Formats: sequence, structure tokens, C-alpha cells
Amino acid sequence: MKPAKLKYVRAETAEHAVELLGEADATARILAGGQSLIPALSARSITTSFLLLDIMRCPGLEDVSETPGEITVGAACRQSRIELSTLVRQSIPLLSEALGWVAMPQVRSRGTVVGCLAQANTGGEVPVVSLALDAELNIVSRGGIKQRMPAKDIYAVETGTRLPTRSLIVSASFRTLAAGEGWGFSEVQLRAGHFALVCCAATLLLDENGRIRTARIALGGLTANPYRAVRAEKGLIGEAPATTHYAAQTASAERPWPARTDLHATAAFRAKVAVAAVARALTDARARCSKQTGATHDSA
Amino acid sequence: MTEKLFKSAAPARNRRFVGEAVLRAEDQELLQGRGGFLPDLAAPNTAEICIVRSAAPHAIVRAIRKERALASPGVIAILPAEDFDLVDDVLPCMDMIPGTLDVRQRVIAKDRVRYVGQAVALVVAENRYLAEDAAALVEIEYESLPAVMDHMTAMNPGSPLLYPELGTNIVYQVTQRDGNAFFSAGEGDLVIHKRFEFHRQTAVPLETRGVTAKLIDNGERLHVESCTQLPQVLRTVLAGAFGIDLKKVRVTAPRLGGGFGCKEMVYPEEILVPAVARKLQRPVRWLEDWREHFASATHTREATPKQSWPATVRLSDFVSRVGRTLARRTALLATRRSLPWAQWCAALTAFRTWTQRCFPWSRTRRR
Amino acid sequence: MTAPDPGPQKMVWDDSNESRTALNVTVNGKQVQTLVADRLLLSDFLRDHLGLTALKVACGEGACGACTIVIDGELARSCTLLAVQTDGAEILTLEGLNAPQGLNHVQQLFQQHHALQCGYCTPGWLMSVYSMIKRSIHPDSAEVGQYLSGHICRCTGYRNIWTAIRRALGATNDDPVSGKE
Repeated sequence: MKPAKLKYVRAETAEHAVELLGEADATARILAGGQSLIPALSARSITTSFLLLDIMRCPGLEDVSETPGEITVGAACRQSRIELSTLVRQSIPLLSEALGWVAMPQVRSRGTVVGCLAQANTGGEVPVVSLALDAELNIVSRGGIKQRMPAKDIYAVETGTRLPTRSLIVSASFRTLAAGEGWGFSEVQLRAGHFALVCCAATLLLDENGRIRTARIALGGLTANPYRAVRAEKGLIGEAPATTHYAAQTASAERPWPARTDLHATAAFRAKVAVAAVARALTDARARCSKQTGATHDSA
Repeated sequence: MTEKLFKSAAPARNRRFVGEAVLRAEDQELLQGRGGFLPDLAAPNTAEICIVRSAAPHAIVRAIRKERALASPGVIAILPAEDFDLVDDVLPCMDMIPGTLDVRQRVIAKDRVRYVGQAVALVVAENRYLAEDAAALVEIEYESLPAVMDHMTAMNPGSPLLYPELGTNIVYQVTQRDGNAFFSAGEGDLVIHKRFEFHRQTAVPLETRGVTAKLIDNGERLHVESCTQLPQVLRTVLAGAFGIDLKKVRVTAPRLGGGFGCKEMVYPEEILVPAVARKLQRPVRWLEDWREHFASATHTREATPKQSWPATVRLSDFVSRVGRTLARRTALLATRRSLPWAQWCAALTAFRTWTQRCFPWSRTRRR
Repeated sequence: MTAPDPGPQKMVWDDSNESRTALNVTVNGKQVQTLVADRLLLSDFLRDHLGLTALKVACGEGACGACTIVIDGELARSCTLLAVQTDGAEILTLEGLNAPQGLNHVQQLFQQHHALQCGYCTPGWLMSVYSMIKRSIHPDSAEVGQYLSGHICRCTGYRNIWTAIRRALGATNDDPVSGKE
């Protein structure tokens, strides 16, 4: 299990990386944390001689910045750093919580947040959070063309991503939670550190009457790519928070693609577990709503 | 020396091992990372081996083409079966009891492969990276044969035969009786039927297998290091495989990173790797990788996957009202994959025993 | 009674088509400057080029933790890294944590609590414990379980390792962690 021949280049800047990507053939890849890529190279699931572009030394990519309503995480930010970041825990705690479920601490010290988004591994936690937090990815393509793509567009396919080819994600911007907005993250894993069998990221915002103003429910692992349960979300608007468990059934059922069967679990099992995961995430979100507004809105 | 092994501070004259918490003597080296496991042992000028394995469960090997692989950088040799000159090229089997078919496995596939993971050719190169490059270039032409994937199917007449010349897939069958063969159900007060199923298992030690081999004493003797739980047996087998005197073979079992029984075998690699050293007159090493381990190390008992067959082990206990077992009928069907070492053979084969035991009223007698 | 030092076995790469890159790293306090194949894994660089064979390569995929080391103060799997990625870094392996003589404090705790059997996974664990101590992780915190999940042991059943680690983190009793794992 040793990698096939490859060429390694340290990109000096993000633009340099994109330029090299553009010049190379289709076997060129961006190397950040490498926690998915290197094992795939060792197993030779990726074959033929190719180019690895290391972006970890590119200036600016290790920044975490805050703008009104948004936190932006650079492509070179390691998962463990973001997980433990005070700023992230305060403004987008959903991301720090979800990161605690990604692999193990010994892997999170190397892997990157943006790398998770680019890999779109089935059962990956960060893509699910990106949907719940309306994330947008800042992408640079050949010729220096910059664009901002919403995560929901990037994962709008059954597998893989709709990222433009030969492009580099330089950062990901996550919406910060509004005052009083509750959040919940729930995951079921076969064993600690494994990919999610199913996971759910949810947020709830109440109006002044204690009714649900907005909801976000994102589900991963049930289908190859994560999705937002938009029907379930719509069904919650105007409702009392106590009714959130009904949304769980809808959220699982409205999956846009078939549920997955693999060697770990059947589609039917995943679908059932998904309902429980959504219910749990919404319960946690509800509890956090109440705390933040200081009033109890739960009714029997 | 023993002083350091006792945790307690009792005076020396009062010390005994029994009842004492004793520290392990080997822990110091292990904790400092100087365990001296096989992959840690290095010798100069050692070439690395990578094994090309069958991806087909059952196929005829039509052709092996090695030209592209030989041209790969750092390659020393590409060795299929024809390049090995062994006096005995089958693995030993401990219990070739009368009535067992001889299905002892070849150490390397010649004209037929019978399981995914069977060795077909050995690649020798300057290091493992280069060996794997070359292994990817070895071209093998397989003619697929129907595969038999479970023992129930294997037992059926008309099922594909793994050894056509033997006419059957059943390697061994025995019925054992003890006492009164047919126990009438009416004589017991209760009949309990129970089914047990066991998955196919494998030991998965953290340290995978590995073998090194070199000639020592001016080429007079063969020194083999192997992750083995049976160095003495391996030594005997090697002497037989090469037709040389036992004194010409030295086997070292370095510190083992877990065995759990799966290293309690003589494996094809333990004969092939020394054969390469003898042939090339150069030290060689083979380290198994993790994925390779699942395909090529031995597995143990497996339940039938088919729903129609009730169980792998069926027990029927005839029990008296006071809870004494009067009789037991057992049907046991098991598969052992691969290696003839412990029993049966390289292919998926099945054995079935049907045992009845009968215990007298007054006491239980175990056989 | 120590095992003989195997010495480094330098991998031979006699191929002009193999892409190579300069590598400058500090390993256990010593500077190393060399040229290595781009595809050389850090685990193989440390084990075969530098003779630092404490770390083990077991799964080769980053799942089992046997290859764990510390890079720039953070835990890392050496088998999921190319050596060239670590240019400029400070690498610490178990050899760099060994006491000049005998066992260091954590190693003694492992011995006392019988936290190893075959010893193959042990070097990896010791690196994680080093990091946990540096981060002052509380022995009763849920984080302990998180770090533990990063290592596979096939021999011990984990209990004694967990006990030893809790002691290393300052626990004064062996009561199990209540609640979350």
C-alpha cells in the first residue's frame, strides 16, 4: 500500500495553485490536509502518475475572519483549530460541535474544514453543517476568476460535487446564528471516528410569539450527498416548537435520492435512524432556543 | 533481576510469585519502542517482495506476461510458479486422516486459482514502492470458472468442482456415534432444539504477516525470520520444501505483534520468500499490508448464509424433567477457507458430522 | 537487555523518473536535510531512512493509530502524510520521549497497569498521551474517549490502557467516567 509515482509541488499562492491546476492534466489534485487523499493514493484507488499541489503554505488561506453575519474559514485551516476556536464556538457552534464527530483528534489535527467540503465523503459532517448554515464557498478558477457558490448548489447532485473543474476553494463562509437561534447536531456512528451512518444539523429561530419563524434541517449519510429537508422546514414555520418531532418523519421521507445500502447498514435501517437523528437535533435546537430567549415555549 | 519485577515492597525473603503483582520483563523494550518486531529488523541489501494475487475466485490461469513489469524501474525479478524449483510445493497438512481427500494447496498457483488472494506471481524489487509499480504491470490472463461461494452449494452434486479430478467438493465426512444411536423422543420429557450460526472470522492482529530470508554461513545455511507462532514447525517444513538437511535451516520468530492463531500456520509466503532468497542469492523481505491480510491470511469457521438451511450447528437436546440431558444430536457444518494446515483445504469445502450422544440416567459422561 | 539497534535501512530509489524534493526537518531535536522521493510516506521516511522504528505501520490508512507521531506539537498519522509535506516542521517520535535510562513516567504507568501485551500499538498510544498531557485534558472529560478512539488495540481490550491514561492525566482513582464516553 504505497502510492504510485507522483510529483509534489508547493504552491506559493492560491493563484499559483490555480494556474498550475489549469496547466496540468486531469490527474492534478489539490493537497491540503491529505487525510482522504493520501490513504486513497496508498491504496492506489487513484492511479497513474499525477501532480499534487500543496496549498498549506499559501498566504491568507489559514485565516479565520468575521464579517457581519458571517464567519469565513480559509482552506488551510485545520479541523482541530476550528473545532476549538473561541470565535467559532461563539458564533457558529454548530460547526464546532459537528467537527467533534469528524474522525478522531489525531486526524483532525491535519485535516482541513474546507477539505471536508471538497471531498464530499458520504456521511461527512461538515457538508451537512454547510447546508444548515447556508454556507457559500469562495472559489478561484483559471484566469483568476472568483465566484461564490452556495453549498446547496454544490451538493445538488446525488454523488460528488458540482464544483467547477480546475478550481480551488480558498475559503468557506458560514452564516452566524441569529440572536436566540437554537441549534442541534446529532449523529449515529457505528463506532467512534467512523463516518456517520446518519447525521443531522438543525437550527430553529422563534418569533416573538414563540412560534417557529425559520428552521433548517440538513441530513447526511442517508443519501450519498447531504440534503436540506425543505418540506419539513416549511412545515415547521408558524408551528409551536413542541411539534418538531413530526418534521423528523418528513425530513427522512423527502430525500431527493434513494437511501443508501452498504456493508454497514441497509437503506431501511438508515431511514429509520434518520428519523431519530432529526428528532434529536430538533429537540436540542429547541432547548437552545428556549435558553437564549429566556422563556419556555415548550407546551405539552 | 527478579527484584525489579515485583510491584510490592515486601522484604525479599517473603517474596513469592503466587499472589504477587509481577511486572513483565519485556515491557521496557516495548514501551521504549524497541520491540524488535519483524518489520523493524533490517539487513543490508534486502530486496522487497510484492505478491501478485488472484482477483478471481475461481479461474484457469491462461497466461502470465511479465515484459512490462520487468521493464519497470528497480525490478529484480518477476516469479510465477514455473520459476520456483521446490522439492515439495504443497503446504503440509496436519491431519490427513484416512478418508480425507488430498487437496493440499500449492504454495503458488500454477494453472488454476481457487480463491481471491491466492498468490500467482512474486515481484522482487529494490523497495516496496517500486515492487508495487511493477506488480500493477504484470498481465495475467484468467479464464473465469463458476465460483462456489458457500459450503451448502459446494456440497450439492452438480456444483462446480474445485478439484475436478477428485469428483467432489466434500473433503471429509464423518459420523460418530456414542452409545444408543437412536434415542426416542418419547423417553425424554422435553426436547430442545437450538441453532447456532457463526460468521466467518479472522484474527486481524495489528502486526500483519511478514517473512525475511537470507543465506548465511557463506551461503551454506538459510536463515528465515517470520511472524510465526510455530518456528520449529516452519523449520521442518522448509527443510522438506527445499529437500535440504534440517541443520541447514535456521528460523527466527521475532517478537510478535499479535497472532491470535492466524499466525499458527505454515503459509505459502513462508516457503516462497525463502525460495526467492535461495534463487536470487540475496536477502529478501515481504511485509504483508493490511488489505492483503484480509484476502490472504487464514479465516475461520463460517455459518451458511442461506436461509433455507436452518443452522450451522443444530443441537437437539433430550432433557428429562429434572433437567438431566439424556441425549444430544448434533449436525455441524463448517467451512474452512484456504490453508490445509489445520484441516481441509484451499478451496471452500465443507465437512459435516452428525453426532449422537447418549447419557445414562444416573450420570453424565463426557466424551 | 535491550534489542539490538537495527540501524537505518535506506530505501534504494535508483530511478531518474522518480520526482524528488528537498526536505528539511527537525526530528527529535536533530536537523535532517535530505532529498526524498515525493511519494515517500512520512512513516517510511522515519522508519527506513532514519531508523526510528518505534512507530508502526499497521493499517496504512490512518485508522489504527499505530503510526501516530507529533508534528509541530500536534498529533498526526505518519502513514497519511508524504514526508515532503512536513518540510520545515519539528517532528517528535517516541524515541524523543524516552528517558535517558529506564522508563519515563507515562511508560511506568503503562507497565504498572498492564496496559500492553504484544506492544505493537503501544508507541502510538504514548504519543497521544503525551499530547493529552500537554493539553491538560481532564481525566474525567469526554475528550479522553475521543483520543482513545484514535487507536486500535487487538490484545488488551482497552481497559488497562484507559486506566493508565487516566492516571497519567492525574486521576487519583480508577472509577469509570460517568455519562458520556
